[in-house]
This record gives sequence, C-alpha cells and structure tokens, in this order.
Amino acid sequence: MKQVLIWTVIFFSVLMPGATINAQQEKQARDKFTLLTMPYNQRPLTLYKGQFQANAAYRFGVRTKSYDEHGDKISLKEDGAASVVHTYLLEVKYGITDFIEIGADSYFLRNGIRSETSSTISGSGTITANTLNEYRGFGDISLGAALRVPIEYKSWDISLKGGIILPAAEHEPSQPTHIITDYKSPNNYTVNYQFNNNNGSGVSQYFFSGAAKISLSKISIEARGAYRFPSKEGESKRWGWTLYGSTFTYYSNPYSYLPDRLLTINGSIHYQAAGWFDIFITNYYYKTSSGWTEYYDNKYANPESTLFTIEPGFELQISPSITIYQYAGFQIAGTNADAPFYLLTTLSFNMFPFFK
Amino acid sequence: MIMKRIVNILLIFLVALTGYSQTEKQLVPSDLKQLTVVTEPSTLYKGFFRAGTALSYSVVDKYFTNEKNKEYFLQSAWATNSGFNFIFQYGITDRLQVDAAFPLAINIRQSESRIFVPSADTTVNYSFTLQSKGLGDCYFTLKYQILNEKSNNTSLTGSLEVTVPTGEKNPTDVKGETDYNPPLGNGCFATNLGLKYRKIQFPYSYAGYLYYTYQFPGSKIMDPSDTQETEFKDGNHLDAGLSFSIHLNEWIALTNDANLYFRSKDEIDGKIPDDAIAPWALSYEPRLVFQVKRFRISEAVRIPIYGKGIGADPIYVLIAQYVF
Amino acid sequence: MFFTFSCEKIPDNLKDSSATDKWTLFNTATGLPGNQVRGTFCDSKDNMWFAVSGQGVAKFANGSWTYYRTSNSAILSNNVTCIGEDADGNILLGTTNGVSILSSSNTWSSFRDQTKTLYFTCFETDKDGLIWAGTYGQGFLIFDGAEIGQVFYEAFKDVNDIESDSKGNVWVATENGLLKWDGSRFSVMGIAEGLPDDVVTALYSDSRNRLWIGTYFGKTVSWIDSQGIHQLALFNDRIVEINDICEDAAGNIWFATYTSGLIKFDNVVPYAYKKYNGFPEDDVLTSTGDKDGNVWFGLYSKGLSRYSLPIN
Repeated sequence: MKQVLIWTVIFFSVLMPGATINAQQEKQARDKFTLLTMPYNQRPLTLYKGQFQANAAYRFGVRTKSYDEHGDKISLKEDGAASVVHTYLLEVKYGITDFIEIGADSYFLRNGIRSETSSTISGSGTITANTLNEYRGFGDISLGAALRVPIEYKSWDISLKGGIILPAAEHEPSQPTHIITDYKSPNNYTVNYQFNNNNGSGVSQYFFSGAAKISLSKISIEARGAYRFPSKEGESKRWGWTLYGSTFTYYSNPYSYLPDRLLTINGSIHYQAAGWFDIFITNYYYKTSSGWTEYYDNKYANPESTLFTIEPGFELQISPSITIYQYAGFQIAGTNADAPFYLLTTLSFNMFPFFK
Repeated sequence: MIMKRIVNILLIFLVALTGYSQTEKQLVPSDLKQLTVVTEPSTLYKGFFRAGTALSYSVVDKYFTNEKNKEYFLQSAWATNSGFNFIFQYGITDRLQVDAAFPLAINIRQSESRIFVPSADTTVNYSFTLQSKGLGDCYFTLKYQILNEKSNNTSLTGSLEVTVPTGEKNPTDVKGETDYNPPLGNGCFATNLGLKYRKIQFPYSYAGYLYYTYQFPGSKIMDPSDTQETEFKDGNHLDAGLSFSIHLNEWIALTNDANLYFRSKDEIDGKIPDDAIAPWALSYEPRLVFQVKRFRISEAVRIPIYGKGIGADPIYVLIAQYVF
Repeated sequence: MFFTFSCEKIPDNLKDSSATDKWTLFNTATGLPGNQVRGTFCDSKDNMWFAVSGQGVAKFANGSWTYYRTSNSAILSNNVTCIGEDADGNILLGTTNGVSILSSSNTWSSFRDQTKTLYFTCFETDKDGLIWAGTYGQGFLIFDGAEIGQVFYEAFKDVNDIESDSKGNVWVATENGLLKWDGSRFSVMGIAEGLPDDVVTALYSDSRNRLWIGTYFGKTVSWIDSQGIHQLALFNDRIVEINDICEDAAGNIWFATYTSGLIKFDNVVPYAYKKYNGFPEDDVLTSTGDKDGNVWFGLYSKGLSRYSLPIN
C-alpha cells in the first residue's frame, strides 16, 4: 500500500509540471470538424461534450491452439478441434461533458467447436459419433460511465470507469439437437451430437477500470486496467439424453455456478504517422479467478486462466465522421486458455447530434 | 485442336504486349496512375503496367447443404486454403488490357479421429496431415472496352479469360491414402467470356457483370489409391453480380459486390453421377480500397450468404498493387 | 457511482477440477487388504463399502479407509460377498454363511440360519422398507424388520441380483430367468420374453426409470422401460458376461464384465475399457457410482479402480 502511494506521488509529480506548461499553450479552436478529426495523440480518453460515437466491429478469430494448465501449447488442429470464432460487436458512447462519458456495448458470437470423431466397429456395423459444441447468440449488455480529469487534454490524461453488465442475454443452453444420420440398422449409423450453448453469463456483473494516457509529440502511451466481478451465483442447466431407435429424448438438470472474476491489463504504444493515421501495438493480458461450477452436487473451482496477447494495428480517419480501426491478435503465452488468432475491424461513426 | 488455338492466341497476345511495351514510353501523365478504383477506367491506359499480389485465406468450417441450410462440417478435421496470386496487368491500348495471373497455393488439411474395434481389442488414432504448396492453375485475360468510358463515364467491357492447367493435377508423393500431396490444379483448361457494364458518377460508380466459364474435359487421378486417371468434365459456371463503389474520401473507396455463382453438374467418365448436384451461392463482398499515389491496397471479405452444395466460409483477400 | 455493489463470496471448500477425469487404483500396495473386490456399495451417508474377498470389508469415508475383519470387529466372517443397507441406515454385510449387521451407532449384530448355509449374494430394500436378500441355493429371503420369510423355488434357487424399480416392482435375477414381483404376484421373463439369455446375472434400475438386465450368455444387454424391452449391442461380436451394472452421476451406464473389461454406455454408443487401452484388467466383478461423481470398480485380481468423471 505504501509503495502504491509513493508511486502515485511520483507519477503526479512528473505529470503536473507538464500539465501546467500545456495549460499555458494556445487553445485549439473548438468546432465540430476539429473535434471529430482530432488525431489520437491529441485526444482525451473520453469523448467530447455532445459527441456521439457508434462502433461496429467484426472479429474473425481462428481458434487453432490453446494453452494447458502448465502453459504448454496444444494444437487444436492436430486434435481435429480447431474452429472459427465470428464476433460482431456494437458499442455506443456519448459525451455528457468533456469529462463524463456514458456508453453501452454488446456482441453476438458464433463458434462451432468440433471434438474428435470416433467410430465403433463390430461385425454387425459401425457407429460413428461426431460432436459439435456451438456457442451462438448475443452477449450481455454492458453499461458504463467514465470520468476523466477535468482539464483540457494536452499531453496526459487519466480516467476512471465503472459499470454493470446486465444479464440480458440467454445463458442457459438450448436443448441439444442431436441427430442420427445414415441409419442402416441399430448397429450401423452416424450420430451427430450438437450442443447449443448461449453466450449470456446469467448474472449481473460489475466492472471498474482505470486508464492513463500520455502523449509526447507523435508518440503516445496508453495503459488500462480493468476488473470485473459477478454480483451473485447463477443457475443454469445441463442436458442429458436417451436414444430410442433413432429419436433422442432429452432431460435437464439444474446446477449453480459463479462466473469468474476477470482482471485485464493492457498497454499500448501509438505512433501518429499522419493526422489521419495512427499505428499502435498493444499488449493485452487477462487473468480469471475465483469462479466455480457445480458438478455432481459439488462445487469445483474453475481453473484460473491467463492469456497474453500482442495486438498490432492502426487507426485510420476516413472522414470526419468515419474512422476505421483494425488490429490482429497474436497470443504469446497463457494457461488454461484458448488462444485464437484474430483480426478485428471496427468502423467507428462519430457525430455531434445536438450541435449546429 | 483447342489447345493449339489457345496457345496461338496467347502467343499473339504476348507478341502484342512486347511490341507495345517497346514503343510506348511514359506518354501519360503520372496522376492517371493514381486514379482510384472508382475513378479509373475499366481497362488500364495504354502502356500502363500494374503488378500486384493477392493474399487469400480461408478455412473449411461450414457449408451449404443440398437443402440450402448452412451447417458445420462435423468430422473432426481442419483445413485452410491460402495463397499468393501474382497478377500482372498491361494496357495495350487505352481500351485493351491483358492480364496474367500466377497463383501460388498453400493448402493444408488435417484430420484426427479415433476408431474403436472392441472385438479385436483395438483402438486406432486415425490422424493425418495433407499439405500441398506450389503453382496453381494460371490464367490469362484479355479485356476490351466495347463502349469506351472516356465518352460519358460509361463503359461496357468484354473479357476473354483462359485458364491453363499449370498446377499439378494429380496427388503426388503418394505413400498411402492419408500420406500424399494433394493436387494444386484442376487438371483442365477453361475459358471464360464476360461482359461488364460500368458507370461512374463521382463519388460513386456502379457496375453489373456476367461471366460464363466453359470447362474443357480432362483426366486426372481422383483418389490417391487410383492407378489410372479418370476422365472428367467440371460443370460450366456462371458469375453474375452487381457492384456499387463509393469514395469515402479522396483516396479510400468502399466497394460492395453482390455475386451469384451457379455451376452445372460435373461429369465423370462422360456421365453425370446420380448424386451430382448443381451448386450455387449468393455472396456479398465488401472491399476497402486504399489508393496511396500509385500504390493500392485492397482488403476484402467474400461472405457467402446463401447457397446449395457449396462452401459457406468467408474468404479474406488482401491485395497490394502498384502501377508503373 | 450508480450502483450498489454486492459481491458473491468465494466458498473455501471448492474441489479441485484438475483431479477430475482421472483413474485411481487401490490395491494391496496402497493398503487395501486384498486385490479381489467382489462387492461395492454406496450407503445413504455417501460412504463407500467394499467387500474384499477373504479380507472382510473396507469402508472409504471422507478420504480415509477403515477395515473390518474378524480380527478387529465382530463381523461374522472375512468372506463378505455382498453389501446393503436397511431403511434405518444399518449396513448389511452378506457372507458365505449369514449376515453381519453394523448399526449406525457402530454396534455389530448378526443373522445365521442354524439349519442351512445361507450364502448371500445381494441385498435390496424395496419401497416399503422390506429387505430382500438373495442367496445361492436357497432362493431369496424377505425381512420386514421383525420376521424373515424365505421364497424358494427349485428353478430359481440361485439368485444373482435383486433390484426394485421406481414403480415398486421388485426384480429377481436368477440362474433360470428373471422374476418380477409386482406387489401381488410373480411373473417370469426369459429368452421367450426377449431376454438374450435365461441366466440373469445383474440388474440396475437407473435414474430414467429403465431397468437394465445383464445376462451370462447374451451378446446384448437388455433394458425395460414403459415402451417395452430393448436390446443394446455391446459391439464385442461375442457373448458378454455381465457381472454388474451401475449408473454414474452424469447418467452413463457402466457394465462390469467377465473378460470383456468395463463398458461405458453414454446412452448412444458403448465404449470399452480394457487392458489393451490402459484399464488394469479385463475381469471386472462389481461397480457402483457415488454421489461425488466417482465410479468404483471392483476387480478380479487387481484391486479397486476409481474413475472421477470429467466436469466439462
């Protein structure tokens, strides 16, 4: 605690003279065009007063590897379990003042995970079993408010954000849709197990985060830490089934769980190559902890997972109202985590709806 | 006979290309080489030479069934198709352009499954990786502006494309059914005739196109265990589409392409197999095109929306080109 | 802020997920008194009991073992053949000649017929609290807490297993067919009624109201539900002698077999665990699922195997 205090004092000691000097510099013209075209290295961490931003993003992920509990890489391609993750994200934000921003976001995710195909052969036939775990649906809705230091951005900024993730999305798995195909006899057919999972978490979760940004001419550094935790235990269900001939009948059993707590830390270095073009590299780290899931009337601790990702990318201002962001995610290390390579493209639309 | 004709046509093109490149030198203002995908004419200006490469990447994850449902491949396998296509374009006249494309393909297929034979106390892990790298089927295209764009920003361009089976058509290095290099080429000639109508109304441009591809018969080894080549003829196919492009700013354009692909049934040994189907797909392809001076970068994703008996995975394409 | 935070506390007794989907072998090297386990039983307090041939019984509770033999307890014999529990929570230990009863207050009593040898093979408590006890050679006994009655038919004198179902029927597996007591009368099932063999060796009534029936000479396993009798091919292409049947907490059905190893049925496809793919041996005598998601298998000569179910 004492160390944190010392570092905080040092941090502000370094930054405050800079702020004082900057405050003496010439003020920029405050018109819509100027604000909308503000390059990254001159932008504060939150939106300007009256600014509305809508971000639509698509993330194409290729899940070909994961990390085990020892941090060793597992090739999902070699296990026949590689898959594609399609994520569509939507975020809206609004600047209430130059120092307070509110926002909401959600996503839609689709990922079909295959498991190893198995065939059981006898003289009387072959049963082949394929398994697909599909995750498909909207995620929960996150509502948040961010607050930044109440000074005009010159070279540094600090912001705090907090919010709630509302369990708006369906979280219980839908009934499986297993099917029998190529049925020739009771001992000769293919069974395709399909599990239909949803993406909601089932419980409200809170989050808070802190961010800091400092710009030195064309170079900017941004750091952000966030923590998310659940409000309470959730309840869901697991499906079981029985096969009668070629027809499945299903039944479900309830179970309880507590979503993981999530710590994320990222830091990025930006280079403002031109007024309309910013390139950056971000390191992204997450760690989950403290969650549990009930199995067989016992609560099992969810394995803690960590993942460290490097994300090079760029921000490109196309017009005053449209900006494109694109970055790729390369996983460097982790434990108990899937590590999909991904490419994320964001189309950001900005406007001042109430300003003439 | 057909082969001979095609070779002759190609030779004529090459001679023409060489002749023009020796006689015409930098007669066009350099800013014409910086026109964007919206404002450029439908064929290159005389003497312009554009070279570029297209990086493509797709995975094999979903497909459209014969009942037109989008479903996952359920077998535990993974496949990626990627490659570099080196494309060279040359404006022979202001209305005539010749293209040559040399694709280098990298195809990887991995499969893993387990087989239980309880009566024999046996469990077998059936695991293999098939990989092939190399030159695919090259193609050469001749484009001619039937209606010249210069007059009223409207053009009608005809094209003739010939695909030459330069890629290896048979499995190679066959050591077993799961240990061989899959083919890189299709093993047959193909020719494509097309028409493209285009209208420029800055900052927009509109286009509609129709291409028909005739597949010539060929023969190849269909299965690595086969010892003899099988006669085949792939179905001819039709590509029709509408395209709309818009300038987002002076140097970035967004094009939107809706494409309908239809292919007739394949033939094997002169017959259409009983289970053959005629696949088709309706796709949407958004493309961002960045024009930085003479340098052009395009980023596109072809997304199959609807279809029958055909792959349903998006194809990502990144193209970098430069006009000399 | 806009919200009042409340955060769920983390329980401190969480189980370790890395300990799941694992096999554990208990044998004389780990302290088990013998390597042949012919009876397994999970009592109402979730304690596991194991009949170790010639070595009495072993109890596994809260991670520790307790052994009961003639040398350290009042058990009738070290030849315990089967284990059961009555409605009051007393543990019944069947032996080759009589029953030892260990009460919930840890006091011992016993029952032995002085006129004949009672070699007990199984116990079952029905919905009315009656204890049904199967024997070799003497049919089966029914005990109502006060009196013992014997049911003896020469054709059905050798009883291998007894099971009560959710409807209150009691099924008796004999060497000459399957008897069904519906509360008023007995009926018999055999090959003619659709069983793969007349020698019925094992019964199990599962959580989905199916009665599983294992036989001695069958190539299939039968199950009966409201829709009738069904057959499950075990894919061995040969006769599979079923020693015992149980269900795990995930709903899988396990078949302990003689020479065919252990067979797990995930309600669609049977999978075999045998010596060739890592299971200790191919002769499995008995099986029982516990409520913690473990399944226990008594082996012919290799001790006791425990499988903790996966949790994904």
